[in-house]
Amino acid sequence: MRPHIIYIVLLAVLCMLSCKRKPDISPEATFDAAWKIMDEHYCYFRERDIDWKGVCDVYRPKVDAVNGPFELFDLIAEMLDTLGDGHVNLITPLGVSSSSGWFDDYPMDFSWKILSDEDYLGKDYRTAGDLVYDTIGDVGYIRVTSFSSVSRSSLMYIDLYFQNCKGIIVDVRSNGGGDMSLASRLAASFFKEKTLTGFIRHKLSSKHDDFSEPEPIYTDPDEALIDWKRRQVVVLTNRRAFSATNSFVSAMRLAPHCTIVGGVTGGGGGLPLSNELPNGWQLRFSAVPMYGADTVSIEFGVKPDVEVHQTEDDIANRRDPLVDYAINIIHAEELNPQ
Amino acid sequence: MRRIKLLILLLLASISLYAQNSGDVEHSSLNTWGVGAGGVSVYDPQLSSSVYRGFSVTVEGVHQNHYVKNDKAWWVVSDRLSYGRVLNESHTAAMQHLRGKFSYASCYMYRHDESGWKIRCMAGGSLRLSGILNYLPRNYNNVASADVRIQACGYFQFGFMTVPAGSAVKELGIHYSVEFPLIGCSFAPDYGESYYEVWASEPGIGSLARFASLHNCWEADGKLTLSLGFKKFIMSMSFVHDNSLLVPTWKVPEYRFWHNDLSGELSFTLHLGRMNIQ
Repeated sequence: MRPHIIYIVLLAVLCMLSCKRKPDISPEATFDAAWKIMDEHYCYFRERDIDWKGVCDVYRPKVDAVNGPFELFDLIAEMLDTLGDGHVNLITPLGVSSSSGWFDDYPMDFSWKILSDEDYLGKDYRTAGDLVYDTIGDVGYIRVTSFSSVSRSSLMYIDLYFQNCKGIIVDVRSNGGGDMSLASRLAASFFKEKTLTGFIRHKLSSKHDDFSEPEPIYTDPDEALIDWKRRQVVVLTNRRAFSATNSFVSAMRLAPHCTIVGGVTGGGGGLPLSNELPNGWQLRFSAVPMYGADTVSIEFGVKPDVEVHQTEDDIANRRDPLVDYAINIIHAEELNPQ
Repeated sequence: MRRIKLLILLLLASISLYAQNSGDVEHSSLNTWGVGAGGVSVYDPQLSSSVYRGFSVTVEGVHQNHYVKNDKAWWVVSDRLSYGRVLNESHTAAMQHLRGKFSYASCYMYRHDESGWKIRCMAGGSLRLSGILNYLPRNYNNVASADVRIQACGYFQFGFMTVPAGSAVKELGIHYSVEFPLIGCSFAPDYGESYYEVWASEPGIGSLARFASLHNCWEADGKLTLSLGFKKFIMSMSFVHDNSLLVPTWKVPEYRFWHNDLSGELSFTLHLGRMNIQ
């Protein structure tokens, strides 16, 4: 064979290697990819007692009857909803699927309308990123709406604003979560010393029950956003406190001078990850399970120290009993802020 | 940890030996630096179950030397740094891909010359430092995946060259070089281990280091090159592949290809430097 023929053949092989393969975006391929991603990466099949192959047997035959993207979306969303996990979402340009079963049957325990009455914050409260803050009498109040934009500099100004306050209310009700490291660092602000506050595991393979040994997570004041370790603090929770907020509350259970007041949190103890389907839709799911310091899973929520709910009468009387209770605790257990 | 320390000591000892010998390495066969562009295919199961493909740019250095009095013993040093911006199949997510490699091989060369063509085979061992960083900001708590490896490898290179008569082309060649790790240390998270976990849990970064050898690492990192050598520069087209049959970073080995397709990089490179035809 002449040398130049070898070159031509090799060039052709290289060009073939670089050819772009068209993805299979059929409903069958999209459904199968969604099922497989969950099968290999989702971390709570056992805790939720889910037979995922059985779920496939129920929903896979329905793909043949699917007509158009909306029906395919609805079918995959219905399959995912069997998990009842707030961290499982199908995220697409045509909509986002989510499970609501984890909070539907619980009291709301939060009304911004009541909280912005003159008895509480009034209308002239301050906002800094995800933080809404003001004083209610001699108590500092911070509402953390999300763990996405919580900065050290904002907290330094808030600290200045709260310098004469007897204690702080950290209201994380209806906070859907965000950046775990921000939640950890805010929690660390209330700790005097490095404390074991939880455990984490990860999957070792695609098998449903193949996990690493629990590895300890410490909350370390060296990573704190601000030094509030001597402050009396009450954390307000409700069922819609989810994900990173759930982990925040789990850690705060062990903070000195801290009381958790409200309803059980919404859970979402699994660190969520996202992946994509061949047609570009995104699939989010719980991938890394987390536990409290007692090694109990926090996937199904964290119980408060004191369970307080907002009743219909409270709403009619325009009262927020959780805030009222928190103020009473702070007044009863007043500490020197220095 | 003891084995990792031993490995690092061996690497340092080998480098110092090379430094001592370098005074004798006077005859440079190839000493070039080049830039290139092409396409890259990335599969990173830490971040996605999809293949990402896209454009990449490469900076590459290749240096081949042998002793003046012994043209059977060769040193091959190669450096390569490439960056790619890659997209998933449906073009809804983008990943930044950075890959680097430094490899130093010492080999025995077999040569066969005929009029008009020649064959070169090199076999030996190499020390390799390589790393990959993929950044995909879709996941809040797991935005990146990195993998750094220090390895002692088997090294093989095959070359077939012709010298076209009556043209400006000094040499027309095809080369294939491959490294397959024998022993090493890898710094990478487990399958399913998030970066939040690495940051927050007690073992921290120390948990990333793991010993890799043939018991848990079967890998072939190869490069196929077509080159046109002119008097002062070389034009080449190369395909780089890095295929793992057994991924060294997972605690429980799971047999699978790094990807169904060939995961790798195809690039066109222009090298400038010195080339002495041997």
